[in-house]
Amino acid sequence: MENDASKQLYDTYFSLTNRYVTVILRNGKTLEGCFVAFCRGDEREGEGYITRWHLVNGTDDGLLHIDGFDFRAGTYINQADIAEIRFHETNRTMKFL
Amino acid sequence: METQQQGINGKVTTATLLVALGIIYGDIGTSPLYVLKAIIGERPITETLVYGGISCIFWTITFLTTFKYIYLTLKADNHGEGGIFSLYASVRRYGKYLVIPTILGATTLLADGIITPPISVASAVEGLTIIPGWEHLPTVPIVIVILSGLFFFQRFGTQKVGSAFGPAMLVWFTMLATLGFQQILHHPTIIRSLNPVYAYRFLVEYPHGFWLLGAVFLATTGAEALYSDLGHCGRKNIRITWVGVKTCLMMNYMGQAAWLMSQGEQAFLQGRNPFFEMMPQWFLLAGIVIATVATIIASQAMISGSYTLVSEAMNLNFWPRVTVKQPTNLKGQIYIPSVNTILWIGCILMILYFRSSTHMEAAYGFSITIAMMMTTFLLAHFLYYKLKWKGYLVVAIVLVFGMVEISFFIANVAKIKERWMFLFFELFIFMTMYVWYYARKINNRLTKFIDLGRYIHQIKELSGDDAIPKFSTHLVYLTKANTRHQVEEKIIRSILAKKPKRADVYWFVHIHRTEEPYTLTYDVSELVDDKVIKVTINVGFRVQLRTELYFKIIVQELVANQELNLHIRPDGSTRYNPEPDFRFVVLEKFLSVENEFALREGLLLNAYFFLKNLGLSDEKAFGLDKSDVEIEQVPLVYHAIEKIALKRNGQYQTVA
Repeated sequence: MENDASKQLYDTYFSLTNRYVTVILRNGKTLEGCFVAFCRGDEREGEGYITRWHLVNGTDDGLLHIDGFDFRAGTYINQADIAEIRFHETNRTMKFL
Repeated sequence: METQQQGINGKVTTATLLVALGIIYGDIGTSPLYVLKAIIGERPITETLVYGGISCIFWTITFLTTFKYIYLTLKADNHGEGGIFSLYASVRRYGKYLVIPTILGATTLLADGIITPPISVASAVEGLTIIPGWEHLPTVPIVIVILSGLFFFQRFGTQKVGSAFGPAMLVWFTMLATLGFQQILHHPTIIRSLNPVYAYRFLVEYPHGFWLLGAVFLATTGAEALYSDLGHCGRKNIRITWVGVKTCLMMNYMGQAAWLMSQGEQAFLQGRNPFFEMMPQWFLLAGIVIATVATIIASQAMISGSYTLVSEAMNLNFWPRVTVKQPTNLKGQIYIPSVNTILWIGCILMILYFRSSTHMEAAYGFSITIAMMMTTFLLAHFLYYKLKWKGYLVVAIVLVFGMVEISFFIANVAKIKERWMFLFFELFIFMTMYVWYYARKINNRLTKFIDLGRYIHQIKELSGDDAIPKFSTHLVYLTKANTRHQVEEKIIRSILAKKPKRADVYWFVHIHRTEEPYTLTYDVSELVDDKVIKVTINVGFRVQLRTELYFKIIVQELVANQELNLHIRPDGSTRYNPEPDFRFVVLEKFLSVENEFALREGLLLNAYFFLKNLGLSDEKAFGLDKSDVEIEQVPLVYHAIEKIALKRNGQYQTVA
């Protein structure tokens, strides 16, 4: 669990006040915004703590990011696809091997 | 690691030994009714066949039952409980692939539940046909009546008659030993058959001897039950009683063999059963009655075992949720109507299709060889990871048992080749477990969680907003989130989106199924004082879920300890009844039309929702009272359709 990169990201991210981040994916694509939700892995079967993140553009305004027709805003990102994340509050970068 | 629960499991008294005798030895104990008859079949009686058959029976029972189950497998208890699901719960963290052997093992054990009752009861009842004048007695209707009665009475439980099972089985085993001993006295050299050289000759020198292993294997078919019922009887009771049971069984097998040898070389059985043939004429009817009672007890144990198996499968998410009843006050005794009906139909179809125990022998044993192989595989993980045995020792055990069990499996495959119909039932069970398990995994993988802290402010504001009508005083959501600060996104959406739900106190209740069988504890944490409360109820995988009752007890305890103030604001909703009201909201998922699937996922999810509709509703499954429950439908979006080529034609038009 201590070596689980997704858990380290989770702990770091939710300890921030300003949760605006830049995400660089393994395919080179860059995304910016805030994580508003996440999908959990089954740790009893050896999966990581988080398997997917829900990223929305803009700052975290505490809204649900679901429109009146139940369509979701933003993008889903697999934890495995993340190459690095820069936290704007601390200006630190977390890299994933 | 060899832990035992308090109670019957730890004690050894005459009463506990009798209970063990009545519960676990029905299947293996009634094998003498058909094993030797199956080995001899239509072959001429020879020393190689008879002595070799007995030698194979003895060494199979010694190797598989005594060494593998009584010595090794009984070590693999999960807080005193045994059985394939308990074993899986102990080792599942060591490999995702362990799911498949678990499903296969459980499938074959359940499938065994439709063949053990008919073959056992039919073998006993067929004994009636050797009574002079009753040679043409139709046994099939008698077997159907006995089995139907047995399944009908399941709903009333076995509390009243259960205490008679042990003494009845004691009578049965005494009869086995006495009948056998009487014949051994006439042909004492039969004791030589315990020499493994006879088993070797049987397998190597007797024509097609290897394929007779399918019949030999029937002598050990009840061995899995010893492990499954570990929790009911306890290790010591099983080990002590096994010494007596094995002695009685071997005396009877050798007695039958002695009787066969007394018929002379090259004689034929001609459909006769040596078990009944060796009985004195005056004892025949009494012997058949005792045998029938023993087979009914064996069938009862098999049916009860099937209920336990399905109940565990439900709690470990391998089986759709179905109604589980407790017919008596007896701890752990359950009755599952749907399983009862499936087994009853299966048993009746088996007896109608095969007509006699001789034909059923061809299909019997196949399932159990698979269950045994799967247990060996899981057991190896337990020995290596939990008991920390040396790797080479575990590999050696797997290789040796694997080789023996694969040999039995091959012999059984050859035997079942003309009875494929039986396999459809296994396929149905396997697919149900496979679909339920993997579709739920997909379902869980797509469940989004949020950090509750982000919404606390909004929830507090909503709670105090008198402009919105109050939904209930206490609003309770069931959540899968196992940490304090998380909750599903759909729950927040239910509270805040569309029509907001105002309440005085918001509860998030998480049911944590523990890997220990009988845990029942809870933890409470207040996220906002008397406003947002998270409760985790830890429930063992053998405990029937009664969420509403547990929740009520928790609230009462919190109020009594002055940890919770049931403050009710004096608004209109509480003017006429000062008691607080609790409302549970259950969020039911449905497959959204927005989805586009890959083939496997599509099939799995459609099958899952089909099974879900056949099963128990969510509120019943969680043990909630319908009058306090609000059901909300939420879409399960798997892969939203992303590119839709929707084009507009013409301009927006207004009516002048």
